[in-house]
Amino acid sequence: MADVEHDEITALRMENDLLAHEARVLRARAKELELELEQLEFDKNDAVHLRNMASLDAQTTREALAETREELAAARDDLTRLLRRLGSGPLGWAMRRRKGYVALRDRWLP
Amino acid sequence: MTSRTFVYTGAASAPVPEGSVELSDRDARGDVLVDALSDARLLVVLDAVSYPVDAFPIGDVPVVVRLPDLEADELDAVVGDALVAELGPFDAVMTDDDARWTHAAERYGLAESQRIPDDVAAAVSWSAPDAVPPGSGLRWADGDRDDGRSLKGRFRAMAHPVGIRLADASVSSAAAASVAVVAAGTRPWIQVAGRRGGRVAAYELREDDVAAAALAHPAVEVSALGDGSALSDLVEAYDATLVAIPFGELSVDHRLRVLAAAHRSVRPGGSLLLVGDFVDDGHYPEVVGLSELLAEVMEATLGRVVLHDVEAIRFDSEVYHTSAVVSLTRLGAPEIL
Repeated sequence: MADVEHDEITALRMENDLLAHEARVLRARAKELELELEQLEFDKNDAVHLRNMASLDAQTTREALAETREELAAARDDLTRLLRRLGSGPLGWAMRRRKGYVALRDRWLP
Repeated sequence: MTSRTFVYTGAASAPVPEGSVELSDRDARGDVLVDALSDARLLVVLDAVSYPVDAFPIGDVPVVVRLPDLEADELDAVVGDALVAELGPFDAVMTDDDARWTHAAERYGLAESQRIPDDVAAAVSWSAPDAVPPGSGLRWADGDRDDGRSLKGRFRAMAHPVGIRLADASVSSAAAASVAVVAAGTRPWIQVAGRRGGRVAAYELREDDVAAAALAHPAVEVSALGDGSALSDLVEAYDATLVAIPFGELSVDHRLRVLAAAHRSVRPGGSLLLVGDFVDDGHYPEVVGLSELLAEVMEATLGRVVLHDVEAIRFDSEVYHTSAVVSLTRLGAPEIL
């Protein structure tokens, strides 16, 4: 009976030793996987951030272009208004004799 | 329930030896085959062409397959890759055709000991060779001596993690790992290593095992291990070295020498696999516990290894997890540049 108990205790002790090593390796691997997951999560956040930045840049560029276009349109309107007034006032005949005015009028007034 | 031998005759019914049970293609229905194979001691497949291997994989039942009368390419296409490729060290094929045997042996990694004559009486009395000594991971439990099914199941349980580790050991995915098998009569491990297609060398502990392993695997160079000196000249020669000796049978000094030589035979970054029994459950008194063995590994290798994986295995019908596949990675810079 004592031998049987000893055998069982020995077997249990050795099995426990074996399983403890297996568990330790599995825990280490779980930790590695956890770190890999953290890295993946970090990479994902990084990618999202970069995408947002790119999106933001594109939006900014679009807005700047639209603003510039509006400014150019306003400048063109001002210029055409000015050329009409110069050509139709009391000094219009004198302006129409100037080559520079004629060139600008031909370019901007329909 | 008594284990029985079944003979699958396929379409052509044929008389089967006394004591065995005939299965024809009419029996190839789920319920009949499942019932038959659940307690089969041996399955002899005489008509491999009609055997429904996809629906009823052979699993742990030892199988003897008669190679059909086909040309090599037809054999591979019709039954080879589906059935013959599934055969392990505890299965066999029947054929009298030398050319067909040579082709099957080379393509599917079969050993000479797995060939039997094309004779049904010989097939039903075939049993897996007693190639596995106690303590080396593939253990015979009480009463298992005549039960190849149990041994095949044990082998499959151990071979799976070993196969994964050997696949991981290759230095590149394009080439199979070169493997040294350091074992005591464990010819099945030579087959596991050889199936991956890499270079395999074997070192046996006992002289008679050298001859038996060389006979079973003519293409593999088999040497006597001695005290480990056979390996010690081979520095960094392999991607992996698989050690399946019954550690408890060797003295501590002998173990240290073998472990040191096995370690040196692996390239840095390669795998040192230890396969064996690590729990003394009364069957084999001389069993070394894993902690004790790992301490010896650290001593023998001067600490130049890291424990990579331990897979404990409990076989069916056993109480304890007795066996394990232990994977260590060799550290350090190459000694040979």
